[in-house]
Amino acid sequence: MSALSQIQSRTSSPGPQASPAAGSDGRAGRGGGPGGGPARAWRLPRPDFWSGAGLPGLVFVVAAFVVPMAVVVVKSLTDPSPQNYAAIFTSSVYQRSVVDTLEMALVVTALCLLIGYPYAYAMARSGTALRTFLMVALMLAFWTSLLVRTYAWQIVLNDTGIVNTALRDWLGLISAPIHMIRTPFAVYVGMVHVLLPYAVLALFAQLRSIDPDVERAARVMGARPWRVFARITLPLSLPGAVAGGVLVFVLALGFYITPQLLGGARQVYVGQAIMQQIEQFLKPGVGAAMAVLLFVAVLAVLAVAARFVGLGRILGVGMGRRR
Amino acid sequence: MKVSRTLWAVTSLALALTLTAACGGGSGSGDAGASGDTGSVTYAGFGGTGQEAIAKAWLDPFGKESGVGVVQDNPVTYAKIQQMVDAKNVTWDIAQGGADFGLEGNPRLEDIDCSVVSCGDYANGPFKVYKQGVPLFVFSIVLAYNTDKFGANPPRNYADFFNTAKYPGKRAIDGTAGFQGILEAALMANGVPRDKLYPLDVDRALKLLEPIRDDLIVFKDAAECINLVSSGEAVMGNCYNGRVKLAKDEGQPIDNTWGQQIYLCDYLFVPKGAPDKANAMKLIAYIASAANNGKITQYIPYGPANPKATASGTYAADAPTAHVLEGEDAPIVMDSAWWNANMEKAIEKTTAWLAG
Repeated sequence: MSALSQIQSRTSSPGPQASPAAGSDGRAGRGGGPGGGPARAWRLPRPDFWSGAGLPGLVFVVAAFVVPMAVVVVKSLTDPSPQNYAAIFTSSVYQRSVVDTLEMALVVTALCLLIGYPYAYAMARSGTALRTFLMVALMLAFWTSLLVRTYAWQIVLNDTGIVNTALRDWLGLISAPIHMIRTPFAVYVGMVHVLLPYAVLALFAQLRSIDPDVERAARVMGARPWRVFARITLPLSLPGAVAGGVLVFVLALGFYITPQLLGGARQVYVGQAIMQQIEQFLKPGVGAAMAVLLFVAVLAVLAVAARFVGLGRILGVGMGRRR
Repeated sequence: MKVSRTLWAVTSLALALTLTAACGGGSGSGDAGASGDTGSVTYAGFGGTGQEAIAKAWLDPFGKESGVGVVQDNPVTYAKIQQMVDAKNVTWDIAQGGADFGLEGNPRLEDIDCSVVSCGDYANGPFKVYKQGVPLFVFSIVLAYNTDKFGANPPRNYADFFNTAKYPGKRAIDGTAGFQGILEAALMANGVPRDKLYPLDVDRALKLLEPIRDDLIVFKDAAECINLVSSGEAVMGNCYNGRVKLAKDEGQPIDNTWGQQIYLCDYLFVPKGAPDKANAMKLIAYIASAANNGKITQYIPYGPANPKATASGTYAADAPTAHVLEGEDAPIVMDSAWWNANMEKAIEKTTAWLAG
């Protein structure tokens, strides 16, 4: 969604934002970076029609997110006591889940960027027809129900599933099935499938914002295609990679359904650990404390990433680009 | 100008919320209204075919005979009961669940009124009436196997389950509940007598599982068990007896032995502050009575929990209670008090074991 709004803003204002100097403008926009423009002053918008129109949305966000989040924080401290946080750190299941979750989120992020980059590049550099096709193909996967896709992967990856049946019975390449379901591999496959569009759209928006003339100039100067890519395109597209990567990483940290359906009992991720505390051990306070820590971790990741590319770019509101 | 717009937005939002709430309330109170003055009781179960069977066997007939409206809800989660009671907003009169919720001194449950419920009937049964819970029906985790693999010479009990030389192939077990029942089975296969199982030596049981570690498929959802065994991915599994019967009737290559079936029981209990406690006790008494408790087998292969009740109808021969074997193959009845006190630790240990 965030990346979509970037695409829209890109198509509506094809200004010369992508000269090498402007490539850093996401950074420069953040209050007084080195050599940046004037620091933006934060002040409340004057009440006008649009702030009135935004009010229901604000009420919704407060009612649907801020209030429940506050309840969770209070619960983590009072049900029964702040001791909940100590309980977390003595739980070996939770400690293991943190390690497993970080590993999973990192692998999924890396895979999404590796697979998503060429895809986004093809989308950004192709003609209208191919771009539309690639976009629709991506969005079709995006629009299909998460549950349907996850159960479909079960059928594909089972020991008696499509892949193993093909390898064993039709091609005769293996004698015993390769175990994929209920392993981290299955979780990676399912999650990359779900999260890839976020990475692709962020990368696509960034790649599209690179002025083709810059690459053309490099070619005219005699640079080989690989060199053009390595010295011009790749560096200029990095903010998009960071934005897409952070988005995927943050979403992956709290994933529940896909690991639950495709993963094994050997890996317990944070989402499952929270569920276990609340549903199985009936310790909503400890579950709430875990959720608070997860939320803090997400904020920390966003804060670090914001230092590099600007929060607006990750959230897709394009704060850095406003003049 | 700005104030009036704000006011307008807030008013419309409030209006929208009120309308939604009104609609929600309307659909809920419809059933209760029909019952007139005799009140209404809300029964919360787990949904699906299980609750359909409960409705046909007990809830519907009770409503007709007594004139009390019975409203159904699902699914029960203990977390939800906890929140209802703590928020003093209890909508369930009866909830269905396991003894693992704690049915002796649970501050969130009402005591059972044994002057209404025939508690005495249960004295000699495998499942006792707790201070706050009445046994509903008996089901079990059975040793299911793929009939294509071992049709002629099926496994008999857990000694065979752990014997991968005689019965090669994968075994599917439930990884979510601290290997409940399986730890007991492992210890028994190793020669621990039944009456010496508790307190359970989890570490020793896990050591006994070590030799078949690579042969275990650990699932997280009971529905997977049937798929794993009937597809042949696993040759044996610890599946729920009702699901095995269902799959068998569909023609899947699956069957089960009754040797050392792991006996389980669902209970009925009344959340503290239930709106109609009196009718809740009446409905529980109706369900638990020797005359009615056996009717469940007309609709689903679960057995009566009241030892004085007689199973009747279609599934009478398929209920776990119809297959109580003797000696070492007798049902394994778990010590729920031990499990309630140690579930968390057992899950910690089994999760660590799985990861290691």
